[in-house]
Amino acid sequence: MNILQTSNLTKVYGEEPFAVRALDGITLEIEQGSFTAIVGTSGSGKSTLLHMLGGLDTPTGGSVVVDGQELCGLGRSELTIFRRRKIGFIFQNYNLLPNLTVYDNIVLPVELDGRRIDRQYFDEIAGVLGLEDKLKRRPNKLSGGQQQRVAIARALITKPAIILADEPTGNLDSRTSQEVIGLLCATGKKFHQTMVMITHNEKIAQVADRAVRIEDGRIAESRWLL
Amino acid sequence: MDRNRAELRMRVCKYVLLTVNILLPAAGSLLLFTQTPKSRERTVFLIILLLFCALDIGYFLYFRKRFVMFSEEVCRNAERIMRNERDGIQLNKDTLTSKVVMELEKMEDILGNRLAESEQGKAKLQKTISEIAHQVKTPLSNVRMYHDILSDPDIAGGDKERFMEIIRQQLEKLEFLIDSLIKSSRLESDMIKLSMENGSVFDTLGISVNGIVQKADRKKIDIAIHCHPMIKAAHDVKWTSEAIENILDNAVKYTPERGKIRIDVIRGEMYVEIKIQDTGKGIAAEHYNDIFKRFYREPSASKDEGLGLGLYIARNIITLQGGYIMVHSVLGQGSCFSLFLPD
Repeated sequence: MNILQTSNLTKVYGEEPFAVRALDGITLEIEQGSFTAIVGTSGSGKSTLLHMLGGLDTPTGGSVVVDGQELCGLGRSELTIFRRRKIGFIFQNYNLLPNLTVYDNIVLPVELDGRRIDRQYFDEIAGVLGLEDKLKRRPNKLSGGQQQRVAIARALITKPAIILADEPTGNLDSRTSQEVIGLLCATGKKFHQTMVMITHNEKIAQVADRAVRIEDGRIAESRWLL
Repeated sequence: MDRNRAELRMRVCKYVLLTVNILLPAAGSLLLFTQTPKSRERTVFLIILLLFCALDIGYFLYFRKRFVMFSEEVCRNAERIMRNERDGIQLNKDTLTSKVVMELEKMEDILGNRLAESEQGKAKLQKTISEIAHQVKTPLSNVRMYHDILSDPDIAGGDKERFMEIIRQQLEKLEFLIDSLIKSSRLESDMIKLSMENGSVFDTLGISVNGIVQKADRKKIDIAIHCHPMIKAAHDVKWTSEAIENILDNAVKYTPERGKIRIDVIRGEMYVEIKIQDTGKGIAAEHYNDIFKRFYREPSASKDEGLGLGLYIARNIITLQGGYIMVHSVLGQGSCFSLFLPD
């Protein structure tokens, strides 16, 4: 079953004759429960693609359908709620709030939605990510790898339809990168989450189920690794 | 902002209700009985009391209606979800109904996925069985063929010996094949239960190395282990040593004589890494993922014995324990397999 589908997605920055085609007709299908790595050099358009998938930016043409919903038709406030309930984000620079504790950071998306926290699920996530003894700490007292683990937990807590990770290991050394990616992959499988990760690191992409290579705003190669 | 306002409204409502329901009637009746009995005043109080009662009933009916409407909406949506229809009316709104309906849809998705997954598992098992049948067929038909030749009474003595040897080899292959298939199918069908314990990695490594040390000696391969004996990881000793042995077995197989194998155990933040480096022929980057597939044999390795199950089983064992395997290799210089076990 496809949880995400784009057809002929284009994004053009600027106007002719100076237009830059960041995305040039991307048609992509992402299967429920899979772990997809989008690989490409910087400037290939992979970040733009991820922003489109998450409804952070509006495409110039084409469509994005997430979990049966067409994103282009949604208004601003609807899109905000959509993102809150359906999409988990993991960023390169973690984007944790420094004045909240680790626990508060993780449950923030659930609280923003005015819902109760599924304590059992929370404990499970914290256990798998090894965060149980750090819940009362502030994020800036943690190492980079630990901060990214907090961000992973925050992405998982709402049980989103899809988790989008934008260079999740960009700020980490190679050893921690491997660990974080392994963890991302393992938690994705454990909690049956669909993940899309963008990276420029080929070596990191090998843990994914599928690698999609983007060059000049087009899909250059797409293959299943399993 | 919206939420704050809604919450404020709720709170105000609550206080108003509290005042109206309890405090005012109480105050009213108190006044009624403590005042000097003047009939006019008493009537006024009585009227006020009745008024509050009416208001109270009004509130009650209003909120009851709201609640009934909410329940009906949720029920209607639940029925719609059961019919597998999506209308999108209740999506992405900041209302209680939208919240409940979206949760219901999520639940339906999760249950649907679970069903699809179990069906996939069934299909996978079917595929395994047919693959097993296919793999067993070749040596079996070889045995039969040589047996037929042997039953010919005019066969020369030297040939007889040779054919007997071939049959023995084929039977060995069959035995090896069936052993590995049993192992892999057990993993596949979740028949094994891993018994995880926080044991010493060094001891597990020892078991694995013992399994291949003879083969390595024969090829004069030097094995160096760098592992602190105190490093522990949560793992199943029996299966993990099997996984490590499979990787070591490959390392020995593809490393030429007088080569080197180096094992490092490194403790990380979340995982313990078991790094196995060899000086073998290496793997091309485009085959990094193929080598873990079942029955995959690299074209250049097809003449060596093996089935293409070792790494597949190893990966399954490690993944089942919450770990993962990564590979890095330079063609002609050697390969490096890293097994990550959760700390």
